[in-house]
Amino acid sequence: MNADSRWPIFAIRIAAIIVMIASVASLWNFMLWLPWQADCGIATAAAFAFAYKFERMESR
Amino acid sequence: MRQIPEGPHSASTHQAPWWKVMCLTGVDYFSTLAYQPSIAFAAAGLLSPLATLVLILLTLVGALPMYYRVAEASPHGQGSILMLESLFPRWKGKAVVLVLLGFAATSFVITITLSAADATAHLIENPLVPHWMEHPVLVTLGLLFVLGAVFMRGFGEVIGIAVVIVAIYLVLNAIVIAKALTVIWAHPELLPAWRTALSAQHTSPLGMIAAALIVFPKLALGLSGFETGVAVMPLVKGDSGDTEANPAGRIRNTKKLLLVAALLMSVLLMASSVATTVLIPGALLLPGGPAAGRALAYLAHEQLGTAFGTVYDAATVAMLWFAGASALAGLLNLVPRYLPRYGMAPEWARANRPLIVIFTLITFIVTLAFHADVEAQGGAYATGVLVLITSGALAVAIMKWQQRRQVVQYGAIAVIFIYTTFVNMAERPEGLKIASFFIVTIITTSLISRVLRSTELRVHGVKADPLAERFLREASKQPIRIIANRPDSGLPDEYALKLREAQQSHHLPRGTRVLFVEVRPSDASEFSEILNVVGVDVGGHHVLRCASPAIPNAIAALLLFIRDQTRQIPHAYFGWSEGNPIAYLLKFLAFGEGDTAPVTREVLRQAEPDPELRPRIHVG
Repeated sequence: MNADSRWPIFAIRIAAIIVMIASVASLWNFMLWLPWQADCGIATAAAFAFAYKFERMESR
Repeated sequence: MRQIPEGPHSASTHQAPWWKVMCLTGVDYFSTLAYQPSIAFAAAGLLSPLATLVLILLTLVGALPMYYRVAEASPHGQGSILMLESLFPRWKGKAVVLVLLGFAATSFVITITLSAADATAHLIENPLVPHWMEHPVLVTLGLLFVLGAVFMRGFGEVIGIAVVIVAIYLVLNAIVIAKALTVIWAHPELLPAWRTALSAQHTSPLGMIAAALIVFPKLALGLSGFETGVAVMPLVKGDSGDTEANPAGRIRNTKKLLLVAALLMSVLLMASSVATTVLIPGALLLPGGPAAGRALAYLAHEQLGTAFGTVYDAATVAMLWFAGASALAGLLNLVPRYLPRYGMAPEWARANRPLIVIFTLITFIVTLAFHADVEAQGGAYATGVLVLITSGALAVAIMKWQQRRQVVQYGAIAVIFIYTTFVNMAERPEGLKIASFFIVTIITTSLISRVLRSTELRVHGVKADPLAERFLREASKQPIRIIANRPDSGLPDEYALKLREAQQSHHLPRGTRVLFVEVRPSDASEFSEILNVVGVDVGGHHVLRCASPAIPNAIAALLLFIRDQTRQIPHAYFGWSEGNPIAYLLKFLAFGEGDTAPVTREVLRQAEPDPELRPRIHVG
């Protein structure tokens, strides 16, 4: 990799970290704003989606 | 091929005698003494000694035997999470683990941040502390930084500090309680006065017992910290004859740890409850009063003078600050045992120091989010702790049900903890909000990590049976040509047809000797593995068969293995899959899945940097 191509990659990585931090902060505020029942629903849905996604991978 | 360390925590962990590790658990568990008598009085009033007795009975006949069983079932510190994972097959088990890790993260992270914030509150309240320190967030961040720095030095230092702090704290508490009991002994009118006041509120003994049982869930946090006893189990030194499969000495010593911690705490809780209820006027113990949240500290100042009281305050601050140590040790044990194994975290997550930095940063963020407010974090703390204890009780109850032994005893314990957890959740549902956030964050980052790592080789060894080795020896006499075949009927016709297709598509000369490779999908939830290759002769066709969760990665690993064994660059022949290439590209970007040939080529490109040494992929 030459030196010229390193800076854009570095910038993309910094941008990705900023987006990640902003996403976590937004999620935090959003979940604090939602009622606790909705928060539990989101967490349960995430766990089931996760399980379903990889069950599907297995059955391919 | 790069070797991935076998199992979690392959780096040697510092181990210490059980009584020293008990002090590490004790900084969290025994620190409960700082606030438990006030909580008990606020919940049960004059009945608090009886309510405390219920808590002690549940600890000794419920939590203690339950954690004995957890220690036996998961002696490497995975706790009830491992037990529940094995009850659910494949990815459902992993989903359960992630949810429980969310609650464990809530419990452990909030234990660290809440304890540090509480230590700050105690520190700032002291009149001797200079005004420039009256910045709770900054002081809490400083305490968290120092805690992280101690862990960076190593577990030996952490346990050494815990032993000193716990020894001083227990001695000071023993002095305060002994002095208080002496005062009660010297004033024989105090106990009858308390009994009379109690009888005025509750007419019958049965009514008292019923009231004590009803208020019990509010006292359940007296158990907090006890659950870390099994989380720090890998730190407990066992016998010289212990093996990885059967660490009998470590299990026995962990049981001693749990028993002594429970007995010590039972004596201290009971004595402190009687002493504070009888000696401190009720109004002073209630929220807003000078003894609220610090009943024993109040007695220390009242009975033994300001100098002793200040020393007691300093010990409490040290204890609360270091209470996060057992939680951090629990996190450092739990996370490397689960997430990297599933490919849900980078490999460096197996090492302690990077994890300490990450966890310290997380505690900084949580402290900033809650402005170092103890009360705001209370609900999340209770939820996390009680869910962890309940998951242990549930796992043991299910295990006993499967064994058809002591079902009623452990079933009843599970029901009590489930009830207690639900009562607490209903009272402070904000704990569920924070736990839900942790669960969603863990699952999201797990998915991202898993996708980013999907083109890693994921195979840390290949074992070929004698027939497969013979096939390779025979194939190496001419250029090695491999046809990837999707397993179907397994009959000779299938391979003859596949060979004809390959000869037409790739212009292979007639009579060319080929090896067929077949990878059957296995448990997709396992991230890395050893590939066991079996040679099968099907009507003269040589077939290499194996099973793997990731087919392209297994083919790539097999090609590299064949290259290393035969010292020839193998050629692998694939057919294009039917489907839109853009759909495959998007699928690859989103889930790390895609058409087998390009993904195999990408795995090889990442595993072997030199293009000259890379097995060749042909698609036709």
